[in-house]
Amino acid sequence: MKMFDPHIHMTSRTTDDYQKMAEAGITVVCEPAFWMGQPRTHASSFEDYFLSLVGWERFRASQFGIHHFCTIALNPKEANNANLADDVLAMMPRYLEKESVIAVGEIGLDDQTDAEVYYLKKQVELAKEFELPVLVHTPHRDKKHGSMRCIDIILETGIDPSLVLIDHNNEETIEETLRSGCWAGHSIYPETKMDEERMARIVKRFGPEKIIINSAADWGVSDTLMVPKTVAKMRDIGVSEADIERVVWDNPIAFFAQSGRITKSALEKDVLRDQTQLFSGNSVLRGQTPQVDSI
Amino acid sequence: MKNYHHEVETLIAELQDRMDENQFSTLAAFIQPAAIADNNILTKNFSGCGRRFKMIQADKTGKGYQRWPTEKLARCTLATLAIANRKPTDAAFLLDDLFRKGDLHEQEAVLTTLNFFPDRSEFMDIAFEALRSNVVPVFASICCDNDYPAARFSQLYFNQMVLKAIFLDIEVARIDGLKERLNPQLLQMISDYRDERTIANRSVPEGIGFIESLNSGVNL
Repeated sequence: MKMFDPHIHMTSRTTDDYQKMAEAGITVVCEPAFWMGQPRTHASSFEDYFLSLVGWERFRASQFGIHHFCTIALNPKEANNANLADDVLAMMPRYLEKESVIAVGEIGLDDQTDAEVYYLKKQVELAKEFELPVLVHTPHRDKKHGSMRCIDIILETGIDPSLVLIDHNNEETIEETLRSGCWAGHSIYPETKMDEERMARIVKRFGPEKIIINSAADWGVSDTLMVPKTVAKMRDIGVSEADIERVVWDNPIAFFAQSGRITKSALEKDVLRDQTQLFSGNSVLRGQTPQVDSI
Repeated sequence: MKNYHHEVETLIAELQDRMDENQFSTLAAFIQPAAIADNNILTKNFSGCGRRFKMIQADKTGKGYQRWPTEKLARCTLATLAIANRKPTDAAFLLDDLFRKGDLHEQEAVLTTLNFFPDRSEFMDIAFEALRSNVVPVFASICCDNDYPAARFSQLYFNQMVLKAIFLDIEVARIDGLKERLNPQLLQMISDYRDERTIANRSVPEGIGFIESLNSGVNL
C-alpha cells in the first residue's frame, strides 16, 4: 500500500529517515513551512528556508524515490515577531505560485494572541487569492477552545471549509472539526499529541471520511514511520483495507489536489531514484554506491 | 547577433498553437508591456507559468521548440521580453533574481534564455553560477544546446564546463561551438582523464572519444 505523509518536516531529518520511509511504502510527503525551534532574526532567513523547501529538500526526497511537496506560510509562533511578519507576508505571493507549493500553511494559533489572529486572517485571504487550501496548526495548550477558535476565525473569512485541514486533532476536537465541514488531521507522536492505538480507534469509530493522519516528525522526539505504524494498528483492530487506504492515501491526495497542482495519477507513478545526481555540488551520499532504480 | 525578436515571435506562435483560448489569454496578460515592465508582477508570473501551463503537452516527436515543455516556452518568452525591455544592468539584476529564487525548472528556463543573448556579457555571473551546479538538468541547460558558453566563456571556463559534462555523463555532442573552441589544453585534460580512468580500471566515458574524434583534422 502506498502512503502519503501530509505533514512532516524533512528538513530536520536525515537520509536514514528517507530510506526507512521509502522502504515502508511512503511515496509522497508534504512539508509545511514551520518554526525552526528558535525564532529567526531576519525575514530573509524565511526566504532561504522557502527556497530550500522548493529546491534542495525536493531533490533530496527524489533521491529516495519520494515525491516532495510543501506548504508556505508565516507560522503562528513567529507571527508575534512584528519586526519581520509583514516582510514575510510580502514575499509569500511569489512562493505561492511555485508548482510544488500545494497549500498555505502551517497557519493557525499558538498562544492565541491578537497578532496571531491578524496574520491568520491575512494568510487565509492569500489562500483564497491563490485558490489554495490551508493547513491549520492548532494550539497544544488550551487545545479544545483554541482549535474551535481557529475554525471560527477561518470560516468567518468565507473560505469553503472543504479547503481547510485542521491539524493536530484528538478525541476532544474531532467531532467539532468534522461538523464544521473541515478535514481533520491527526499528528501521531511517540509520547504526546496522539498515539497509534488511539488513532486506530478514532478511525474505527468515526470512519475514514475526511480523516487524515501524519507523523509531524520534526527536530523533536518524533517518528517518521508513524503513518505506517498506525496502518499496522488499524489492521490489528479490524479497520478494512479500503478504509485504511482512504486515510493514508486517497484523503490527503483529495485534499491537496484542490490546489490544482497534484493529481492522483501523477502521484501513483514511481519516482526514478537516481543517486548519481547531485544538488549544487552536494550529494546526499557519503561514499556509498549510488542506487539507480525505480521504487 | 541573434534576433531575439524573431525567437519570441516563434515561441509565442508555438504557445498559441498548443493553448486553448483561456490558456492563451492568461499568457497574453503575462506578456502585456505593463506586466513585463514590473519586476514584482513578472517574477510572480514567471513562477506561475509552472502551475498554469505544465499540463499542456509538448509534441515529443517534434523538433526544436515543439519538444520543449510548455511552461519552459512561456518562461523563456517572459524572460526574453523582460531583457529586451530593460537597461543591461536592470536586466542582469532581474535575471539573477529569477535564477536565485527559482525552483529547478525556473532555473533551467533562465539559462535557456541566455541562448538568445550570446552577445550580452552582463549575464556571465548567472552562467558561471550554473556551472557550479551539479543538478544535471540545471547544468545541462547552460552546457547543452546553448550558444552562450561558446560565445562568452574564457578558455578556462569553457574547458571546465566540457570536462564536467563528461563527469556528469552529459552528451557532449550537444555543446554548441565545441569543435570551434577545441584547444590543446582541453585535449590534454581529456587525455589525462582517459588515463586516470584506465589506470583505475574504470570505463572511459563516451564523451572522451567524441571530442578526440572532433580533433582529427583540426589544426590547433
